[in-house]
Amino acid sequence: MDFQRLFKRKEEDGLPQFARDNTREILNEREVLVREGELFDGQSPAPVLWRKVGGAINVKADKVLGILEGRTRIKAAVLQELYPGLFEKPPNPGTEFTIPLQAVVTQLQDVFAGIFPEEATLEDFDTPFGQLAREDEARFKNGRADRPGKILSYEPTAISKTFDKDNGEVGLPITPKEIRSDLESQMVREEPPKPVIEKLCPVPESSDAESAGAVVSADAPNIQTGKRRREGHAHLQELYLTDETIDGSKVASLILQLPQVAGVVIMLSDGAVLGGGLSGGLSEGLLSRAPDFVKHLLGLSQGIQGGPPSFATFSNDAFQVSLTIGGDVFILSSHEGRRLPPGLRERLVATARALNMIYGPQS
Amino acid sequence: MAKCEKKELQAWDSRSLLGCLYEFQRNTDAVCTLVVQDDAAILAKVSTISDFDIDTLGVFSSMMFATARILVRELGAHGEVLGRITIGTDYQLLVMGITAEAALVALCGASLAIGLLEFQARLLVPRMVDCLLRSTSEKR
Repeated sequence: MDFQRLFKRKEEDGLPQFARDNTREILNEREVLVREGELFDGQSPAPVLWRKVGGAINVKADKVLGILEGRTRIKAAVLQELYPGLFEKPPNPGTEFTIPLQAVVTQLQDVFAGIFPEEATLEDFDTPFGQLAREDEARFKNGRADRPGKILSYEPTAISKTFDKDNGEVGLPITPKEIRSDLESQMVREEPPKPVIEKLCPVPESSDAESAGAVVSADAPNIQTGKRRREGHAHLQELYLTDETIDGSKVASLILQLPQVAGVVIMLSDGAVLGGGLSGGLSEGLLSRAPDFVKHLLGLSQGIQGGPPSFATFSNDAFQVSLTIGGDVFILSSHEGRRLPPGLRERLVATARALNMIYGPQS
Repeated sequence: MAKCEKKELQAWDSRSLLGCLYEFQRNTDAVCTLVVQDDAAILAKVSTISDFDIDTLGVFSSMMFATARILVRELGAHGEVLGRITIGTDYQLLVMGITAEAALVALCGASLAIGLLEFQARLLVPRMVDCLLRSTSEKR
């Protein structure tokens, strides 16, 4: 079966007769210039002697087949008839050479502009794919603007525009639709979007440290604070062999489980209680005096070698109270018995220091 | 003796409430946090900016909370009062009722999502309620 013939009939049937006639008439009056390199035999260049015809040939547009189907080609016999010296040896009668559609259509643009009334009505039948195609076409026309070097030069402007305008309600940036869509398309083509965390906490690159300095200096305290807190948190988890999230309240309950600890309160130097409770002989009176006591103790020990004190104990006949100082954090604990178990002092000091990393002054 | 104990307990609750605010501030990097009553009293306050007029913010938030409660009553509605205000481009204010008379107020940077702020506040609400309920029941 001759499939080619079948398809050909179908295509011809699908096209309105009057439209075909009009087109043929118009195309008969127009010529198409085919240059060297625009004539193919399949995938390879056609075996023609371009130098004998000056590197280009003119053919009537109606001699070019398949313009309306988008498969532009010309019969070798037609070419031989027009330019007898074009071929070294006579080509086969049925041979057809293809011509790039773009080469033909660009020369006949005015012909195709509004030939068919059907097409004119179909122009209004818009689809999302059609819109995309038009956008792509427009971008293709401005191909130079889409090249990587160009994008990188104006991308920062687009981003700054994006972030200059804020949503009044939630503080999120909003942009005009055009700017956003342009930006998105460029970002997708150029490079994958960077993680948001980079925008929130910019990290200086070693090669570009000076330019990044202004931004980083504003965020650096936050980064350092976060790092310090994380370290403090990790220390506490190591000390108490836990993976759970630890805060002052949780640490107080963990200290209470240590041997011979009857009561514990974790507090800040301004008297705020982070965890623990009034038990085991600890009282509000004791807590209220602790900040002043620490202040005096630090003043007293200023001249002592080895730095400020970190642990103090008070004992009487009934019980023993210890005060652990870790910067801005104090741990006031009461103990059963006259002597502390081995290692408890070190653990309390380490705990207070770790808590100070989390709750202490962050500057 | 009993009177002395009561005062001590009040002082303890106040310390604990302050500790909760520090905890909240640590978790959210809030500029300042307060616990206010609907009668414009500030029960506890913590601020990271020394020259910030936190009392004015407290009174304003308290008025807002009180007005919202009046509205709730007038409308015959039930449930908590929750207010979110975006202040300029850099700050946001959260006012969350934690008891019938008291509310948590937090002024934060806009970088922290308001939902996350609310989530952190809810985590601490039980501890705050513990501190507040005792004083409320004593008043009654």
